[in-house]
Amino acid sequence: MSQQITTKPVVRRRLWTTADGRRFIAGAVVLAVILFGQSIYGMATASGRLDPSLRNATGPSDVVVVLDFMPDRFHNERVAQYGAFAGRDGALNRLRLRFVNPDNLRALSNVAWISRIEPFK
Amino acid sequence: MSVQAAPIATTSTARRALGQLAWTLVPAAPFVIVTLIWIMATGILNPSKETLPPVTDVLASIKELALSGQLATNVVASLYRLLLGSILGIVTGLIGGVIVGLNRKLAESLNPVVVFFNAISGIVWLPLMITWLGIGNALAVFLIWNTVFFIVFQNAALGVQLVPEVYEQGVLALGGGRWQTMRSVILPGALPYILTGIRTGLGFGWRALIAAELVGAATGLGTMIFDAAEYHRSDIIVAGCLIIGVIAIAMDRWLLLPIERRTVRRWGLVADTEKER
Repeated sequence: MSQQITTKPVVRRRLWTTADGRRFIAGAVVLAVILFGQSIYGMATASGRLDPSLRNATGPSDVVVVLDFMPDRFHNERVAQYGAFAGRDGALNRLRLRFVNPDNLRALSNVAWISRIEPFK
Repeated sequence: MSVQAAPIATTSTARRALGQLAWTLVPAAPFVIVTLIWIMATGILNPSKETLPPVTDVLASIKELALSGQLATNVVASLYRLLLGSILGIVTGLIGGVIVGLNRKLAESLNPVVVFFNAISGIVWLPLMITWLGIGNALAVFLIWNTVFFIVFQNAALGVQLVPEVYEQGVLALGGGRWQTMRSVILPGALPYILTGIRTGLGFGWRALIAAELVGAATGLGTMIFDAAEYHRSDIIVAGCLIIGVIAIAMDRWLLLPIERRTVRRWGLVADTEKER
Protein backbone atom coordinates (compact mmCIF):
# COMPACT_ATOMS: atom_id res chain seq x y z
CA MET A 1 0.00 0.00 0.00
CA SER A 2 1.66 3.18 -1.07
CA GLN A 3 1.08 6.35 0.86
CA GLN A 4 0.72 9.45 -1.22
CA ILE A 5 2.51 12.46 0.20
CA THR A 6 0.86 15.72 -0.62
CA THR A 7 2.33 19.10 0.10
CA LYS A 8 0.46 22.35 0.34
CA PRO A 9 1.48 24.71 -2.44
CA VAL A 10 3.11 27.88 -1.18
CA VAL A 11 0.70 30.67 -1.94
CA ARG A 12 2.39 34.01 -2.32
CA ARG A 13 -0.29 36.60 -2.13
CA ARG A 14 0.20 39.86 -3.96
CA LEU A 15 0.65 42.95 -1.82
CA TRP A 16 -2.68 44.56 -2.76
CA THR A 17 -4.75 41.43 -2.11
CA THR A 18 -4.37 41.62 1.68
CA ALA A 19 -5.74 44.25 4.05
CA ASP A 20 -2.26 44.97 5.39
CA GLY A 21 -0.89 45.27 1.87
CA ARG A 22 -3.57 47.76 0.88
CA ARG A 23 -2.96 49.72 4.08
CA PHE A 24 0.77 49.82 3.32
CA ILE A 25 0.15 51.02 -0.25
CA ALA A 26 -2.22 53.71 1.07
CA GLY A 27 0.42 54.77 3.62
CA ALA A 28 3.15 54.91 0.98
CA VAL A 29 0.91 56.95 -1.33
CA VAL A 30 0.02 59.41 1.47
CA LEU A 31 3.71 59.75 2.36
CA ALA A 32 4.62 60.37 -1.29
CA VAL A 33 1.84 62.97 -1.62
CA ILE A 34 3.04 64.73 1.56
CA LEU A 35 6.66 64.69 0.41
CA PHE A 36 6.24 65.59 -3.24
CA GLY A 37 2.65 66.85 -3.64
CA GLN A 38 3.35 70.54 -3.12
CA SER A 39 6.44 70.56 -5.36
CA ILE A 40 4.65 68.71 -8.16
CA TYR A 41 1.63 71.00 -7.91
CA GLY A 42 3.94 74.04 -7.90
CA MET A 43 5.81 72.85 -10.99
CA ALA A 44 2.60 71.95 -12.83
CA THR A 45 1.09 75.39 -12.28
CA ALA A 46 4.32 77.43 -12.62
CA SER A 47 3.48 78.98 -16.02
CA GLY A 48 0.26 80.52 -14.71
CA ARG A 49 2.15 82.17 -11.86
CA LEU A 50 4.82 83.95 -13.89
CA ASP A 51 3.89 87.12 -15.81
CA PRO A 52 4.31 86.62 -19.60
CA SER A 53 6.80 89.50 -19.78
CA LEU A 54 9.12 87.65 -17.39
CA ARG A 55 9.03 84.25 -19.08
CA ASN A 56 11.93 84.94 -21.44
CA ALA A 57 14.08 86.97 -19.05
CA THR A 58 17.79 86.55 -19.76
CA GLY A 59 19.21 88.73 -17.03
CA PRO A 60 18.36 89.71 -13.46
CA SER A 61 14.81 91.04 -13.03
CA ASP A 62 13.07 93.16 -10.43
CA VAL A 63 9.76 91.56 -9.56
CA VAL A 64 6.76 91.83 -7.27
CA VAL A 65 5.73 88.57 -5.60
CA VAL A 66 1.99 88.57 -4.96
CA LEU A 67 0.49 86.33 -2.27
CA ASP A 68 -3.16 85.52 -1.60
CA PHE A 69 -2.68 85.90 2.15
CA MET A 70 -0.79 88.04 4.65
CA PRO A 71 2.79 86.80 4.74
CA ASP A 72 4.46 85.56 7.90
CA ARG A 73 8.16 85.56 8.73
CA PHE A 74 8.32 82.14 7.02
CA HIS A 75 7.17 83.58 3.67
CA ASN A 76 9.43 86.64 3.85
CA GLU A 77 12.46 84.47 4.56
CA ARG A 78 11.60 82.02 1.78
CA VAL A 79 11.04 84.74 -0.85
CA ALA A 80 14.26 86.51 0.19
CA GLN A 81 16.23 83.38 -0.79
CA TYR A 82 15.60 84.12 -4.48
CA GLY A 83 16.65 87.77 -4.64
CA ALA A 84 17.16 90.97 -2.65
CA PHE A 85 14.08 91.70 -0.56
CA ALA A 86 13.15 95.35 -1.09
CA GLY A 87 10.02 95.92 1.00
CA ARG A 88 6.32 95.99 0.10
CA ASP A 89 4.66 97.22 -3.04
CA GLY A 90 1.56 99.07 -1.89
CA ALA A 91 0.14 96.18 0.15
CA LEU A 92 1.42 93.80 2.77
CA ASN A 93 0.93 90.80 0.51
CA ARG A 94 2.97 92.29 -2.40
CA LEU A 95 6.69 91.73 -1.84
CA ARG A 96 9.35 93.54 -3.89
CA LEU A 97 12.25 91.41 -4.90
CA ARG A 98 15.24 92.81 -6.81
CA PHE A 99 17.98 91.19 -8.87
CA VAL A 100 16.25 87.86 -9.39
CA ASN A 101 18.29 85.88 -11.92
CA PRO A 102 16.49 83.70 -14.53
CA ASP A 103 17.17 80.44 -12.65
CA ASN A 104 15.81 81.86 -9.42
CA LEU A 105 12.83 83.30 -11.30
CA ARG A 106 11.96 79.82 -12.57
CA ALA A 107 12.47 78.35 -9.09
CA LEU A 108 10.32 81.09 -7.59
CA SER A 109 7.52 80.37 -10.04
CA ASN A 110 7.53 76.73 -8.84
CA VAL A 111 6.60 77.78 -5.29
CA ALA A 112 3.01 76.62 -4.89
CA TRP A 113 1.84 79.22 -2.37
CA ILE A 114 2.82 82.19 -4.54
CA SER A 115 -0.12 83.61 -6.43
CA ARG A 116 1.60 85.74 -9.12
CA ILE A 117 5.00 87.11 -10.06
CA GLU A 118 4.76 90.48 -11.77
CA PRO A 119 7.44 92.81 -13.13
CA PHE A 120 8.34 95.64 -10.77
CA LYS A 121 7.64 98.96 -12.47
CA MET B 1 -35.21 23.49 11.49
CA SER B 2 -33.17 25.36 8.89
CA VAL B 3 -35.91 27.99 8.71
CA GLN B 4 -35.41 28.75 12.40
CA ALA B 5 -31.59 28.69 12.20
CA ALA B 6 -31.29 31.39 9.55
CA PRO B 7 -32.38 34.40 11.67
CA ILE B 8 -30.19 33.23 14.57
CA ALA B 9 -27.17 33.07 12.26
CA THR B 10 -27.92 36.54 10.84
CA THR B 11 -28.27 38.01 14.34
CA SER B 12 -25.00 36.49 15.50
CA THR B 13 -23.19 37.73 12.35
CA ALA B 14 -24.57 41.22 12.85
CA ARG B 15 -23.61 41.14 16.52
CA ARG B 16 -20.10 40.01 15.62
CA ALA B 17 -19.79 42.78 13.00
CA LEU B 18 -20.97 45.35 15.55
CA GLY B 19 -18.48 44.01 18.07
CA GLN B 20 -15.67 44.25 15.51
CA LEU B 21 -16.67 47.82 14.64
CA ALA B 22 -16.69 48.75 18.33
CA TRP B 23 -13.19 47.31 18.79
CA THR B 24 -11.99 49.21 15.71
CA LEU B 25 -13.25 52.46 17.24
CA VAL B 26 -11.81 51.83 20.72
CA PRO B 27 -8.36 53.34 19.91
CA ALA B 28 -10.09 56.62 19.00
CA ALA B 29 -11.88 56.83 22.37
CA PRO B 30 -9.03 58.46 24.37
CA PHE B 31 -8.67 61.15 21.70
CA VAL B 32 -12.39 61.84 21.75
CA ILE B 33 -12.36 62.06 25.57
CA VAL B 34 -9.37 64.43 25.62
CA THR B 35 -10.99 66.60 22.94
CA LEU B 36 -14.24 66.78 24.94
CA ILE B 37 -12.31 67.74 28.10
CA TRP B 38 -10.45 70.36 26.07
CA ILE B 39 -13.70 71.81 24.69
CA MET B 40 -15.29 71.85 28.16
CA ALA B 41 -12.18 73.39 29.77
CA THR B 42 -12.05 76.25 27.26
CA GLY B 43 -15.83 76.75 27.56
CA ILE B 44 -16.09 76.66 31.38
CA LEU B 45 -12.74 78.05 32.57
CA ASN B 46 -12.42 80.48 29.68
CA PRO B 47 -8.62 80.70 29.78
CA SER B 48 -6.70 83.19 27.65
CA LYS B 49 -5.89 82.00 24.12
CA GLU B 50 -2.18 82.01 25.00
CA THR B 51 -2.81 79.55 27.85
CA LEU B 52 -5.17 77.16 26.12
CA PRO B 53 -6.48 77.96 22.63
CA PRO B 54 -9.98 76.72 21.69
CA VAL B 55 -10.25 73.71 19.40
CA THR B 56 -11.75 75.89 16.67
CA ASP B 57 -8.73 78.23 16.72
CA VAL B 58 -6.35 75.30 16.39
CA LEU B 59 -8.32 73.90 13.45
CA ALA B 60 -8.38 77.35 11.83
CA SER B 61 -4.59 77.58 12.29
CA ILE B 62 -4.08 74.22 10.63
CA LYS B 63 -6.18 75.39 7.67
CA GLU B 64 -4.28 78.69 7.48
CA LEU B 65 -0.91 76.94 7.67
CA ALA B 66 -1.96 74.50 4.97
CA LEU B 67 -3.23 77.18 2.60
CA SER B 68 -0.18 79.41 3.02
CA GLY B 69 2.21 76.57 2.16
CA GLN B 70 3.91 76.62 5.58
CA LEU B 71 2.54 73.27 6.68
CA ALA B 72 3.66 71.30 3.64
CA THR B 73 7.12 72.92 3.60
CA ASN B 74 7.69 72.25 7.30
CA VAL B 75 6.30 68.71 7.19
CA VAL B 76 8.49 67.85 4.18
CA ALA B 77 11.59 69.30 5.89
CA SER B 78 10.89 67.33 9.08
CA LEU B 79 10.06 64.09 7.30
CA TYR B 80 13.18 64.35 5.15
CA ARG B 81 15.38 64.65 8.25
CA LEU B 82 13.47 61.96 10.10
CA LEU B 83 13.70 59.47 7.24
CA LEU B 84 17.39 60.16 6.62
CA GLY B 85 18.36 59.92 10.30
CA SER B 86 16.14 56.90 10.91
CA ILE B 87 17.36 54.97 7.87
CA LEU B 88 20.96 55.56 8.95
CA GLY B 89 20.10 54.57 12.52
CA ILE B 90 18.19 51.45 11.47
CA VAL B 91 20.84 50.21 9.03
CA THR B 92 23.80 50.77 11.36
CA GLY B 93 21.88 49.58 14.43
CA LEU B 94 20.72 46.43 12.66
CA ILE B 95 24.16 45.50 11.33
CA GLY B 96 25.85 46.26 14.65
CA GLY B 97 23.14 44.55 16.69
CA VAL B 98 23.23 41.33 14.65
CA ILE B 99 27.04 41.16 14.76
CA VAL B 100 27.10 41.76 18.49
CA GLY B 101 24.20 39.37 19.08
CA LEU B 102 26.07 36.57 17.32
CA ASN B 103 29.14 36.93 19.50
CA ARG B 104 28.53 36.73 23.24
CA LYS B 105 32.06 37.86 24.19
CA LEU B 106 31.84 40.87 21.90
CA ALA B 107 28.43 41.68 23.38
CA GLU B 108 29.83 41.58 26.91
CA SER B 109 32.82 43.74 26.05
CA LEU B 110 30.74 46.31 24.14
CA ASN B 111 27.96 46.47 26.71
CA PRO B 112 29.58 49.21 28.90
CA VAL B 113 30.17 51.40 25.82
CA VAL B 114 26.55 50.99 24.70
CA VAL B 115 25.19 51.72 28.18
CA PHE B 116 27.52 54.73 28.46
CA PHE B 117 26.45 56.35 25.19
CA ASN B 118 22.81 55.33 25.53
CA ALA B 119 22.63 57.20 28.82
CA ILE B 120 23.72 60.43 27.16
CA SER B 121 20.56 61.98 25.84
CA GLY B 122 20.49 63.56 22.39
CA ILE B 123 19.95 67.02 23.86
CA VAL B 124 23.24 66.76 25.74
CA TRP B 125 25.07 66.33 22.45
CA LEU B 126 23.54 69.51 21.03
CA PRO B 127 26.07 72.15 22.22
CA LEU B 128 29.01 70.04 21.09
CA MET B 129 27.42 68.99 17.82
CA ILE B 130 26.53 72.55 16.89
CA THR B 131 30.25 73.37 16.94
CA TRP B 132 31.16 70.20 15.05
CA LEU B 133 28.39 69.99 12.46
CA GLY B 134 26.99 73.52 12.47
CA ILE B 135 23.32 74.36 12.39
CA GLY B 136 21.41 72.50 9.70
CA ASN B 137 20.34 69.08 8.49
CA ALA B 138 23.50 67.29 9.63
CA LEU B 139 22.81 68.23 13.24
CA ALA B 140 19.23 66.92 13.14
CA VAL B 141 20.25 63.76 11.29
CA PHE B 142 22.95 63.05 13.88
CA LEU B 143 20.54 63.48 16.80
CA ILE B 144 17.96 61.19 15.18
CA TRP B 145 20.63 58.62 14.34
CA ASN B 146 21.90 58.76 17.94
CA THR B 147 18.39 58.03 19.21
CA VAL B 148 17.33 55.36 16.71
CA PHE B 149 20.68 53.54 16.58
CA PHE B 150 20.81 52.43 20.23
CA ILE B 151 17.21 51.24 20.33
CA VAL B 152 17.53 49.20 17.12
CA PHE B 153 21.00 47.99 18.12
CA GLN B 154 19.92 46.70 21.52
CA ASN B 155 16.72 45.10 20.21
CA ALA B 156 18.51 43.41 17.32
CA ALA B 157 21.27 42.08 19.62
CA LEU B 158 18.69 40.83 22.11
CA GLY B 159 16.59 39.23 19.38
CA VAL B 160 19.59 37.36 17.96
CA GLN B 161 20.71 36.23 21.42
CA LEU B 162 17.27 34.89 22.28
CA VAL B 163 16.99 32.58 19.26
CA PRO B 164 17.17 29.05 20.76
CA GLU B 165 20.45 27.43 19.83
CA VAL B 166 18.72 24.12 19.16
CA TYR B 167 17.22 25.56 15.94
CA GLU B 168 20.65 26.65 14.71
CA GLN B 169 22.04 23.21 15.54
CA GLY B 170 19.15 21.65 13.66
CA VAL B 171 19.97 23.51 10.45
CA LEU B 172 23.68 22.75 10.85
CA ALA B 173 22.94 19.06 11.50
CA LEU B 174 20.90 18.93 8.30
CA GLY B 175 23.88 20.18 6.33
CA GLY B 176 23.11 23.88 6.29
CA GLY B 177 25.90 26.41 6.30
CA ARG B 178 26.44 29.50 8.43
CA TRP B 179 24.69 31.78 5.95
CA GLN B 180 21.70 29.42 5.73
CA THR B 181 21.42 29.40 9.53
CA MET B 182 21.50 33.15 9.54
CA ARG B 183 18.89 33.47 6.77
CA SER B 184 16.52 30.73 7.89
CA VAL B 185 16.80 30.81 11.68
CA ILE B 186 18.57 33.77 13.26
CA LEU B 187 17.14 36.68 11.27
CA PRO B 188 13.53 35.39 11.22
CA GLY B 189 13.79 34.54 14.92
CA ALA B 190 15.12 37.98 15.80
CA LEU B 191 12.67 39.76 13.51
CA PRO B 192 9.94 40.54 16.07
CA TYR B 193 12.54 42.24 18.29
CA ILE B 194 14.12 44.05 15.35
CA LEU B 195 10.75 45.38 14.16
CA THR B 196 9.78 46.43 17.68
CA GLY B 197 13.10 48.26 17.89
CA ILE B 198 12.45 50.03 14.60
CA ARG B 199 8.93 51.10 15.63
CA THR B 200 10.09 52.31 19.04
CA GLY B 201 13.15 53.96 17.52
CA LEU B 202 11.05 55.93 15.03
CA GLY B 203 8.83 57.17 17.87
CA PHE B 204 11.85 58.41 19.78
CA GLY B 205 13.31 59.72 16.51
CA TRP B 206 10.43 62.22 16.33
CA ARG B 207 11.38 63.54 19.76
CA ALA B 208 15.02 63.97 18.73
CA LEU B 209 13.97 65.64 15.48
CA ILE B 210 11.82 68.26 17.18
CA ALA B 211 14.55 68.92 19.77
CA ALA B 212 17.08 69.45 16.97
CA GLU B 213 14.73 71.70 15.00
CA LEU B 214 13.98 73.83 18.04
CA VAL B 215 17.65 74.75 18.16
CA GLY B 216 19.09 74.65 14.70
CA ALA B 217 16.95 74.58 11.55
CA ALA B 218 15.38 77.12 9.21
CA THR B 219 12.32 74.98 8.47
CA GLY B 220 10.53 72.03 10.04
CA LEU B 221 7.72 71.41 12.48
CA GLY B 222 10.00 72.07 15.49
CA THR B 223 11.03 75.42 14.00
CA MET B 224 7.38 76.24 13.32
CA ILE B 225 6.52 75.55 16.96
CA PHE B 226 9.52 77.53 18.21
CA ASP B 227 8.66 80.53 16.00
CA ALA B 228 5.05 80.40 17.20
CA ALA B 229 6.24 80.43 20.82
CA GLU B 230 8.03 83.73 20.17
CA TYR B 231 4.70 85.30 19.19
CA HIS B 232 2.69 83.49 21.90
CA ARG B 233 0.71 81.67 19.20
CA SER B 234 -0.43 78.73 21.31
CA ASP B 235 -2.86 77.70 18.57
CA ILE B 236 0.05 77.05 16.20
CA ILE B 237 2.01 75.26 18.96
CA VAL B 238 -0.92 72.91 19.64
CA ALA B 239 -1.52 72.52 15.89
CA GLY B 240 2.14 71.53 15.45
CA CYS B 241 1.87 68.95 18.24
CA LEU B 242 -1.30 67.51 16.70
CA ILE B 243 0.29 67.27 13.26
CA ILE B 244 3.38 65.51 14.66
CA GLY B 245 1.17 63.01 16.49
CA VAL B 246 -1.07 62.36 13.49
CA ILE B 247 1.89 61.77 11.15
CA ALA B 248 3.53 59.46 13.72
CA ILE B 249 0.33 57.42 14.08
CA ALA B 250 -0.18 57.29 10.31
CA MET B 251 3.39 56.12 9.72
CA ASP B 252 3.09 53.48 12.44
CA ARG B 253 -0.34 52.18 11.41
CA TRP B 254 -0.01 52.42 7.63
CA LEU B 255 3.65 51.68 7.05
CA LEU B 256 5.35 49.95 9.96
CA LEU B 257 2.55 47.78 11.32
CA PRO B 258 1.68 46.22 7.92
CA ILE B 259 5.39 45.53 7.30
CA GLU B 260 5.70 43.96 10.73
CA ARG B 261 2.65 41.76 10.28
CA ARG B 262 3.60 40.72 6.77
CA THR B 263 7.23 39.87 7.54
CA VAL B 264 6.52 38.19 10.85
CA ARG B 265 3.72 36.12 9.32
CA ARG B 266 5.84 35.14 6.35
CA TRP B 267 8.22 33.32 8.63
CA GLY B 268 5.35 31.74 10.56
CA LEU B 269 6.11 33.48 13.82
CA VAL B 270 2.46 34.04 14.74
CA ALA B 271 -0.29 31.53 15.35
CA ASP B 272 -3.10 31.11 12.81
CA THR B 273 -5.64 32.69 15.15
CA GLU B 274 -3.40 35.73 15.42
CA LYS B 275 -3.06 35.89 11.63
CA GLU B 276 -6.76 36.40 11.16
CA ARG B 277 -6.87 39.57 13.21
